[in-house]
Amino acid sequence: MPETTPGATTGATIELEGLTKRYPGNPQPAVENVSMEIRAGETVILVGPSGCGKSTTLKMINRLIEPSGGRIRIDGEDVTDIDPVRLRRKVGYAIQSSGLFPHMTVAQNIALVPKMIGWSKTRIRARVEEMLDLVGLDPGEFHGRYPRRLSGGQQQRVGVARALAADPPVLLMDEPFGAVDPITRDHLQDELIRLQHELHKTIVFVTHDFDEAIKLGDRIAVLRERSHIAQFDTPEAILTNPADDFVSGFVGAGAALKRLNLTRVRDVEITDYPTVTVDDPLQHIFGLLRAGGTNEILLLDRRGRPYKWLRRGDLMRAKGSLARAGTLVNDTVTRDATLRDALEAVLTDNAGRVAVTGRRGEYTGVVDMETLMNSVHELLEEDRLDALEHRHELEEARSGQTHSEQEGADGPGGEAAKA
Amino acid sequence: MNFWDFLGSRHQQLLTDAYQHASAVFQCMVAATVLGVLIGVVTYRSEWAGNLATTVTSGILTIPSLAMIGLLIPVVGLGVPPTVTALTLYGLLPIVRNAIVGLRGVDPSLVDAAKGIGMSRAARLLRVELPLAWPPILTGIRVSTQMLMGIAAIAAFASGPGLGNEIFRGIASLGSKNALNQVLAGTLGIIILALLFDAAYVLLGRLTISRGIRA
Repeated sequence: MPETTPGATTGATIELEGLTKRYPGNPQPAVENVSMEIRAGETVILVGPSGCGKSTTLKMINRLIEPSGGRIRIDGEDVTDIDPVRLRRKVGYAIQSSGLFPHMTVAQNIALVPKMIGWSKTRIRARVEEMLDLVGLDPGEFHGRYPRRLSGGQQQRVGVARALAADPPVLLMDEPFGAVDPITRDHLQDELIRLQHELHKTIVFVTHDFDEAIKLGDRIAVLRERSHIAQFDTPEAILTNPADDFVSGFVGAGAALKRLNLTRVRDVEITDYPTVTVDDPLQHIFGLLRAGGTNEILLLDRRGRPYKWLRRGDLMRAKGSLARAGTLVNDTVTRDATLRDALEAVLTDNAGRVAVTGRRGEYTGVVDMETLMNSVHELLEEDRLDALEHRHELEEARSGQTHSEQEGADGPGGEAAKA
Repeated sequence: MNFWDFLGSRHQQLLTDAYQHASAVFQCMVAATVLGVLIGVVTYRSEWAGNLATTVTSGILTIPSLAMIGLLIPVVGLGVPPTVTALTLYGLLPIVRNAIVGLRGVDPSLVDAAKGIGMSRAARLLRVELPLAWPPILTGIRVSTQMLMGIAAIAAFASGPGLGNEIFRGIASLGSKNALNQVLAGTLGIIILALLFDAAYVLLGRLTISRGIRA
C-alpha cells in the first residue's frame, strides 16, 4: 500500500449556519435555513429524495451556488465572502460521471489543481503517481491515457484522484457513484472507505441511495424538501430509531436487514468446528465422525481451505472415497464481510452455517444461523438503548431551537408529507 | 500559344499573384479567426447576443462581394485596404457560428467540474472550453478559407492583389489569344491554393486537436 505523504492534510471542520438559497421568481427557497456542524475527519452523507435540495446545499459549501443567506465556516474561517476560486482550491470536488476533461490525459487531469497552485514540476509528477496508486490504478498503465479509454469505474477513480490531488482538507462528492453499474459502485464504495481510513478527510457526500449512505457515512443527514434536516445521526441510530414517519419512510422496509450491513463477521462470535484435512488417514476421519458430538465435519484441502462438508454416513455411501463423499463448500465469507453477506451465505447453504476464511482463504471458523440471530438481536437492542439515550440528550439541548424552527417554517401539516 | 507555353512564359507573374493571393487570404483568415473567436467568446453565454452575432455575420455574407468591395472603395480607398476589410468580414460567419455552437456544446457538467476544482474564469475558458470547442471552430476556419479563396479573386476589381488580376485581365481582353489562358490560369491557381490550404488545415487539426477528443 502506498504511504500518504507525511504531514498530509487531514480533515477540517465545516459549519453551516442558516444557509439559505432563494431563486428569483420563486417564493419558496430551494434550501432553507440549514445549520449543520461537521466534525473534522468525518464522513457525512446528505441523503434525501430528488429535488430536496441536497445537491444545492453541497454546492453552496464550495459556493458553486452562491448562498442567499447564512454563513459557511471551514476550520473556523468564514469563507462566505472570500474569493470563491481560493475557497475551491481548499475543497476537493468530485461529481457524477467523473467530470474528467476528455482532451487531457489522466495525468494532466490530476495535475490541474497542483499546477494552478504553483507546485513544482517534479512535485506534481510524483504526486500524480501517488494519487493513481492511492485510487488503485497502475500509474505506468494509466498515466498517459485519455478518459474515453477508461471504464466508468476507472474514470470515477481518476475523478477522486483529481479532487484529492492538492491535498485539500475537505472533499465534496455529488452522487459520485450514481452513473456506474452496481458491482462497480460496490467496489468504489469499498475503495472510498479504505481511502478515508488512510486520509481522514472531511467528506460531505450526496446521494439518494439510503443503502449507500448507511455503508459510507459516519453520520447521515436525512433531508426533506427545502433541505430541512429530518434527522442527523449515526446510521445505527437512524435505522433503529428513525425520528419521524418521513425518516422511517425513507429508511424503507427491512431496517433490521440493513442493520446487518453495519456489522462485520469479525464482530460476532466465530465458533470452532471439527475439521480434518484431505491428507488425514480415512481411519481418523471415520473415528472422528463415529466418536459422536458432531454430525458433520469440515474437510479442508491441502492449503487449509474449506473443501467439503462431510456428514456421518457420507463416507459409507461413497464407499470410503473422499473424492466422492460429502457436499462441496460453495460459499465462504471473510472476517471483513458484513453480517448480511454471512446471512446470505448461510441461507444458500442448506445446513445453516458458513465457513469463515482468512486472508488467503484458509479456514478460521464457522458462523451459524443461531449466532447470527442472537447477535442481531443484541445489536438491535443495544442500538435502541443508545439511540434513546442520545435522543434524550439532543432533545434537551435543542428543544428551544427546534421549537422555533418548526413553528416558523414547517407546520405540523408538512410532517408526513413525503413519507 | 497553348496553355503550357503560356504558363512557361508568365510563371513569374503567376507565382507573384498566387503568393499575394495566398498571403492576403491567410492574413485575413488570421484576423477573421481572432475576431470571430472573440465575438463567439463574448456572446455565446447569452441567447440573444449569440443569435445577434450569427445573424449579423450571416447578413454580411449576403452582400454580393462585388458590391461590398465597390462600397468600401469610397470609405477606405483602392488596393489592399478594401480587400482585407471585405475578406475579413466575409470570413467571420462560419467562425463565429461554429465558435458559438462549439462553446455552447461543451458539456455543462465539465464547466461545473472546472469551476468546482477552483479554475478561474479565464482558466476555464482557455484550458477547458476553447480546447473542447476547437474542432468545430477549426471546421469553421476551413470553410471560411475555401470561401475567401474565391471571393479574394474579386479584389482585383479594386486593384487589390492576387490571382483575380489574371482573371480580370482575361475577361477584359476576351477574344485576344491569351484571354482564355489567363482566366484558366487564375482559376486553376485558386483551386490549387485552396487545396493546399485545406491540406494544411488537416495537418493543423492533427497537431492541435487533442487525441482524447479526436473523432
